[in-house]
Amino acid sequence: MNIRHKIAISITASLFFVSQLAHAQWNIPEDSKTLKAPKPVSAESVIAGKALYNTNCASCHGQPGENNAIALSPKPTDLGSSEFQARSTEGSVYFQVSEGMGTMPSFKTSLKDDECWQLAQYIRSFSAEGAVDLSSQSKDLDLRLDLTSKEHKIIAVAYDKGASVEGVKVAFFIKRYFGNLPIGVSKTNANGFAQAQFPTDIPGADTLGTTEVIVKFAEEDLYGKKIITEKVAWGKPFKFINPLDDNHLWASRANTPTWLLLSYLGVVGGVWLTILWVVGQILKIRTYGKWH
Amino acid sequence: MKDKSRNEHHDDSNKTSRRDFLKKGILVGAGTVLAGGIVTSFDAFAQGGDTIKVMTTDGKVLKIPASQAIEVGARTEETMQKEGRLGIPGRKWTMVIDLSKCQNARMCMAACQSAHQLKPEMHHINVLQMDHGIGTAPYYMPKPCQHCDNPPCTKVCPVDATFKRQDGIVLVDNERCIGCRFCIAACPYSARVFNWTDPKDKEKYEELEYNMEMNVPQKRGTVTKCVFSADRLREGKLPYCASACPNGVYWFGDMNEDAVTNGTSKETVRFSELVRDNAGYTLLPELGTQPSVYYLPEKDRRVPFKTDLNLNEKHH
Repeated sequence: MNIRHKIAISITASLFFVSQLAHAQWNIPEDSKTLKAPKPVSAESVIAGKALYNTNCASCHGQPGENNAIALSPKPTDLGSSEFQARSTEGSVYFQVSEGMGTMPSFKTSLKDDECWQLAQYIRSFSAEGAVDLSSQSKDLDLRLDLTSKEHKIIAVAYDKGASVEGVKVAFFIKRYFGNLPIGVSKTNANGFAQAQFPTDIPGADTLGTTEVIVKFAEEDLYGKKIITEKVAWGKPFKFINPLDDNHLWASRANTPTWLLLSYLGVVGGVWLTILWVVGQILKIRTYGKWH
Repeated sequence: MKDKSRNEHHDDSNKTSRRDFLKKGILVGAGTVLAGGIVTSFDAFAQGGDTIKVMTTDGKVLKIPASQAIEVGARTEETMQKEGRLGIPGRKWTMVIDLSKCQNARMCMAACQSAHQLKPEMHHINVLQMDHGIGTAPYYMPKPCQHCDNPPCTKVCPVDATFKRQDGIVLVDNERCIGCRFCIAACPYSARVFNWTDPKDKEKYEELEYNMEMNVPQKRGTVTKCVFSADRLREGKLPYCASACPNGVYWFGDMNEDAVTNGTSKETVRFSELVRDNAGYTLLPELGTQPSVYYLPEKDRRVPFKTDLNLNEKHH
């Protein structure tokens, strides 16, 4: 066997080994593969799954079908790819989500069982059999806001060409510096009303308690992106106390604590006074010497 | 002002003029881009007025009439020094690190080191391997500066180079730092590092204005530390480390708003609830340093700890 053969064999062997590493470690039991979700796939479950995907999976896997996973080793699978979909079922994805493998964490402690199924149904919606047509069900709805200042209730009204719509999920948020803080999701009733209670203890932006409320459709894929913002004075009044207005030991020169400044000046002054006194005494001795 | 005169004194005249030229070029270049990147009137050309060459932020060199060039409000070193000292009014930044999520991806460290011109061995944030004692489960612990509300480091600085701002961030001004390293000795969290050698890519960064909110350009013989990405916070963005984490370890926010946002999932939750419900704690509370960084215990870890070190070994 010459050296070329040896190289060729070792390269083939290492390639085989690498491919084994990349794929063969998922050990999905056969009965898991045929397992079906307790609830059949629907627009609702796919949309819920999408939201879960974006919070839990997208940071590593990227968006399905866009091949934009982050550079980890091994590289996270593009879950929208046809290769992945070809070897997957609803049950196998559910197993992978809940159990995890290697660098991929197990989500059964952080997600509920039905959330794992929603994730599986969303991921499978990129295959032919799991696909859900959202466009045929989507409506372009409008949203209006009614604020009852007495009880601090935010009431949203969903309507379609003047008529109110029932059963639409509306999400309520409070604007914060880096993102929106969710305060509730509720479905519109027969009159098209959905409501949320403004929390009593949330700090506002100023002494009046000004807070910005944001209302959206929870299922934006179905009802369109409508964002309504409104400023209300319902937050806890907030007054900023600047720590630099006070004197502290940790502060810079301008904010030195008085006791420190006084004791320092006292010590320095004392030393100087002593020196002056000694010099004075020496001068006195000299003048005495001149006289006598 | 004192520092400025000191710096100018040290610069030789040649370098100052080149730096000034670049400074103006960048300002004017940014101006043209902001104005839509198009110079609409060429009257000055027709009249034979003075023209200047400017470089746009996307690297194109343009010739524009000098009279048309407008200086835009780019942040000069002077404003950066002033604003950097003051901080962002009304805010009190806080970070919550969820130890149960950390699996040592070290992407926080990489993002931080590239943003702050740090060599691989220098850390503003470091992921440590920890345990609580013999027989306990080891875990990973990212450790940035704790941005204490009673910081021992600022107390010992003899030249006011390290200081605390109104929004709670502890910064270092490397124009003032004399490299005495008292602060490194005072910090109980070992959060500070010293530039023993010339910083990474010194030539590349040399011409930049000093931004103390990033502590870039770094300078040999000065101390550097985590700055809570003060430059990003000004733009409403989460810190470099928090945004780079793929595992949802970092929550960052404003304690005055009682909200923190996850760097990975971008979820926002109540700070008080997160820390209360998950038994959040601070490091070495007995020292009374009052850190702004909170930790959530390493329970329900989603991946097994992998290491070649046996941290549970009994030491004699």
